[in-house]
Amino acid sequence: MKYHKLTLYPDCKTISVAHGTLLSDILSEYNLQMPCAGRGVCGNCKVRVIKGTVAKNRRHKAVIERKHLDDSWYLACMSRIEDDIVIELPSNDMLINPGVTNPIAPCIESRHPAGIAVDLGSTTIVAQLIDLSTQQVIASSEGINPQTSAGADIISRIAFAMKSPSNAQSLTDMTRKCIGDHIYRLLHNHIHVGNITGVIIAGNTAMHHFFAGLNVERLSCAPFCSLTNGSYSYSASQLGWDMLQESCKVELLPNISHFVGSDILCGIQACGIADSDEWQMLIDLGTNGEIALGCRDSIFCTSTAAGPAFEGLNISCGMRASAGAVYAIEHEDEGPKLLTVAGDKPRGFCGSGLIEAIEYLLSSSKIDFTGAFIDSETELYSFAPDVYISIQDIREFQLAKAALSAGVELLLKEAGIEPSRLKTIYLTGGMGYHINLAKMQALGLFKDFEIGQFCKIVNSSLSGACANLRHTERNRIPEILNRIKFCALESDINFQEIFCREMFFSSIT
Amino acid sequence: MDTILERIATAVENGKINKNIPPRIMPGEPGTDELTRQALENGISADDILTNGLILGMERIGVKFKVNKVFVPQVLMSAKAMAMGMRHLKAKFSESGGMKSPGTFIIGTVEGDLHDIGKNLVTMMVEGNGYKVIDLGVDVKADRFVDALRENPGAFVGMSALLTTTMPHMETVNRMLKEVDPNVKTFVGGAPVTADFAKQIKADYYTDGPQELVEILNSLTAC
Repeated sequence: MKYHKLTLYPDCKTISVAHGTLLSDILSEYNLQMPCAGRGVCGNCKVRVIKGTVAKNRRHKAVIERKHLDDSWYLACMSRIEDDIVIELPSNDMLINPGVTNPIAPCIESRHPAGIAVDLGSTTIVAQLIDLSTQQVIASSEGINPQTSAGADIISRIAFAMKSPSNAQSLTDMTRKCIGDHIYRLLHNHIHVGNITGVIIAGNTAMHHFFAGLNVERLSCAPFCSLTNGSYSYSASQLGWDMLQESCKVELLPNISHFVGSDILCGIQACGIADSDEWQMLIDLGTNGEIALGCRDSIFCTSTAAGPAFEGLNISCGMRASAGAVYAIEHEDEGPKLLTVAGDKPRGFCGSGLIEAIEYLLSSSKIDFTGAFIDSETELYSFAPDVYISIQDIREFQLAKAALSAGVELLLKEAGIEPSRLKTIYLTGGMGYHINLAKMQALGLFKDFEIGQFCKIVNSSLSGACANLRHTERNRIPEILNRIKFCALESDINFQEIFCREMFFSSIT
Repeated sequence: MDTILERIATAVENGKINKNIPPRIMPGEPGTDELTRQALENGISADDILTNGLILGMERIGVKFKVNKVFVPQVLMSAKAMAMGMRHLKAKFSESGGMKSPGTFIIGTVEGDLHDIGKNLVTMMVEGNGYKVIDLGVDVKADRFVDALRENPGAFVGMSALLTTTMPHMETVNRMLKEVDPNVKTFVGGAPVTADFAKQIKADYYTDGPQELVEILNSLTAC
């Protein structure tokens, strides 16, 4: 077997690689994100080859061209190593530090009982250590869900799991191990292990199935259904979490339905929807675009296929909200002023930055209300070197916006509630908290509501999971579940009409 | 002054149905409703209006969609404008013994998959180019594709899938269709589908959008 030298720039790390190895197989260990699971579609695994040659077939060339990249770029998932090569990893945040610990309070000696709440998101996993006597957050740990190595979208991961039992097992193992690692980091220096009374995990239905090691086949195609929606209890030792006491109980919360998981159940609890005399709504601005609408008497919920645009994925210069991500844009006389996370050089757009960029293009008449560039020769607009919005990005955003808007409209219709009757609309999810409401409405998103009706909530799933560390709250779950009705809106006869209408930024009528 | 056929094509391209609908498009100007009636009154044949007016407009919107100048809702609007024009032509066609169609296209989203917007877009574009379309809907089992082909010998068949997990059904459908008629031309499409996949399952054509599909159909029916 022949071997080649692969050098990664700017780290200058050199690896010995067998002839013919797929570049993405090597880089996946370096947390390279492949939303399309390496099918050569999304272009997110782009790298620049600085030295040496890599064969590029016609299809490969076509994708590079479609992504407006020059010849020096290659997709890792289509590049086989057949030479000594030096590659440059992209400057925007494709390589993400997998575990960032963010201590909130200094290490405490206290003997207070504590618990751990985990939001098992499709993209991000967040774990928090909570002092149960004060409800104070002692420490927080956050990182990418390792399942993203099998695809950014859930269907890709399900397809991966269905290929073989060992694939399915590996997803379960990596998820449990990753949460275990977060717990280890939380406990390190922070608290006496014996004080941890329990761990609560919330997530969507697919995450529930992957964590529990359930067969996901029935989540993969119509007629969709889940194997079970029930909760699962484990002892820490069953999960191999030996940093906790053996007897420490770990609880995976139950799903609402096959399409809506305990993350939304937790959101409903965190927002107090089940106790409210007045109607309220919770909108998760994420890939599955879940919406819950309810009050004390009844709760309706649905999910919409919004796609990952709101999380900055499947966008040419999309990235997570880490250093260098454009999160807001100010209009100034000399042009757009980009505000970035940590004040770094702009490297890409996170979800809220995407909204601000498109709003900038619309309000400065670069694009019209249909989403097309007004100058018919234009296909993209550069905000900074290598930081641009392409026409495909605008289309991607229009699809996400239309799916959510149609979901909100149809759910209100299903419940027979006028938009003005809602006391509060909670926005949560990856960018829910950072979204600029006025700009969101300028793009026609949720324009039937008044700004004053909105309330942003950082992570309603995690807040609800924290609340469920208390027995009294957790014991209410079966009764709350009984009141929730799942509505499949995409089969509604009016869906296509509303969906198409909502793709525009303002009404055509 | 543009000819009336050119004005019909422009109305279809812009999705202008009549003077008032939609109000923000070509405000105050007539749409396919008024223009088609006027063309018939002027003695232009229904065939001529269809080919050199309505279909021409649909072709133009198809090309614009392909290069991302317009988006899904505009194609839907054009299809509606075309349908309005067709309403007036249908009466004429039934007098003269039916309209000529270059061929029949059977389409459906495969079993287990409920996505229909992409499929509907293809339906609109193919229909808008004069073909007879048999839309089997979503979650279509292999047998139904086969039955439709038996009932419509010589038809083209298109399969759509939007999920990685339902794509494999295309292989079964394709094989069963070829057993019924080895010469049937099959098309596959949908976000996760690629040209390589089409080749692998021995489908005849992969297209990444409705316009390309129409162009292939036109070249197949031209000879």
